[in-house]
Amino acid sequence: MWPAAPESRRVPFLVNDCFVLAWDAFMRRTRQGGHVSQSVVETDRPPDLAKLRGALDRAVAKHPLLTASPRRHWRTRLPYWLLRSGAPAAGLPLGLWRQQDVPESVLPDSRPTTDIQTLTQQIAAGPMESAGVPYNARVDVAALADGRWLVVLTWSHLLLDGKGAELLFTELGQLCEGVDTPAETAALPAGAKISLVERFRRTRPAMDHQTGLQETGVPSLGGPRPRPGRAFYEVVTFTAEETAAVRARVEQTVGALFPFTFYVASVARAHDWVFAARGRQPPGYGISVPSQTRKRGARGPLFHNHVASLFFNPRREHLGTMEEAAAAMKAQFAAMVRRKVPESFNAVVELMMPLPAWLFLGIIRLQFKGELCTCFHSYTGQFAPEMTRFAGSPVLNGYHLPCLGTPPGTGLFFGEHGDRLNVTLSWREGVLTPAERRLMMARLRGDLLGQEPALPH
Amino acid sequence: MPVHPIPPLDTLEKQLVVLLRERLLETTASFEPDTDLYTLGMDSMAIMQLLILIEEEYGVSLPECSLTRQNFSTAAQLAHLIRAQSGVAAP
Repeated sequence: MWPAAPESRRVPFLVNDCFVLAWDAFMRRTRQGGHVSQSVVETDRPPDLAKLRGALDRAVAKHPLLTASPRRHWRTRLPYWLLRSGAPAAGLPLGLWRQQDVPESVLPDSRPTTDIQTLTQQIAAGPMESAGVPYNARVDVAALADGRWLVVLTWSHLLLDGKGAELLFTELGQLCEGVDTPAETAALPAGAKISLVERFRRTRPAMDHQTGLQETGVPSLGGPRPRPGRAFYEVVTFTAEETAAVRARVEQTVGALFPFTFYVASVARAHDWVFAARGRQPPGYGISVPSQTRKRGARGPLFHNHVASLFFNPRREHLGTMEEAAAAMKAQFAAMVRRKVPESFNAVVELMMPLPAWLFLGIIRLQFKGELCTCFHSYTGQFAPEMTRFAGSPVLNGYHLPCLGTPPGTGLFFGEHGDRLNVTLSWREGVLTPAERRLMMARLRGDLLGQEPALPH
Repeated sequence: MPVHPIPPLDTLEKQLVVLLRERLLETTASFEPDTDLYTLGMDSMAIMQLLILIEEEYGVSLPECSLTRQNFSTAAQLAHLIRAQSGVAAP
């Protein structure tokens, strides 16, 4: 909900913000940093920094949530954002970087970095706070040695989801061009008041679903023990021809209407290969997949997490071929929607909202012998399709670098920009060896394209 | 047994427009049976929810072979499909 009046300084968390808050608390307690993700736009020329600085200033003045702090009500224990009082803070922090071999004259006042991986780690490891202001997002611009330019938006998952990050990116791009549409101020619709008995009744499908997952467990490659470490990413961009081949194969296998069920299957098999390489054959897996709850066709709110969670359960008997796995995931998707499991999961989170955030995942870990899920996956479709330029530069590509902790320690995230598919593999330090990473991506690529994977050596 | 009997084609189209508007899609005043649903953001989750709503409202379970982009492109196409699958004769 947005503040009802300008003088109001409290903005309640939504139900799914609390789920992310639980992850954030878990990651902080286990020294894995906060739940901070990144989204990247690639351009072939330098962004107009004067325009960008103006946009970052305006964004903070226009959207006070960008500098709000999470708090809990002393009596209800419900979390909320506390907006800053007084004049707006300075604009969102802007960092300038250049890859080694790029002369500083290309991007004056920039700091050197070795590669993109190190750059994202350097940004993520830095404090979001600046001059005493608790920023919930920052922007970094980097000049790469191959001539590309990166604009990296680093954002707190407590405040935004992936779609929200794309909307914020788009908003910043519009502000760069002087397009300043009114900020969303309408209150989000409040849920109907229901009795406690009814609230418990609504949790039943999710509880039954979780019980079903217990039959196979949700083993992860990171194992149940939380471990601090850096976040790593690998982004694979398929060519337009490869992407067309993937789309054709998706349509042939699961039909044109449910492509993400094919992707869930590919993620399950890619993980299964790594388990097999470790000499393990678990009876099944649990793959956590967010699904947008913004009403389709609406631009949607920038802020808050508007997702429902789907937990897929690919079992050993499903994993023989991609066709079998995809058919099983499609059937599970239909069953979950029919039983209203996503809505039920939100009912569970709503009941947990007043509890300490760390306790929420603690209960799940107790249920799954220390694990939380096998991996994360999402398919976010076209990346900010309306943003063709950013700060004066044509956008060549756009993708997310979602952050995750251990367990589970791995995630595979799919999205598209124009006619190209992007796949981001996220993993935590120490969870995958380089050989396992190559194995996972070889299996994934082979399954997506319908080819026998070329086994890495 | 259908919860509601399958109405004539034009009525069914109007009912589907209302169902889509109220339950699934953010629509404008110009939303009509021939409006392209994909331009309104129809995605996998919305289609699956729609399939289940059609079952609940009309008792019609659409077979796998009918789940094509074309059949879900407009409310009008869907209305034709529902009537064909329910065995109701053309209007």
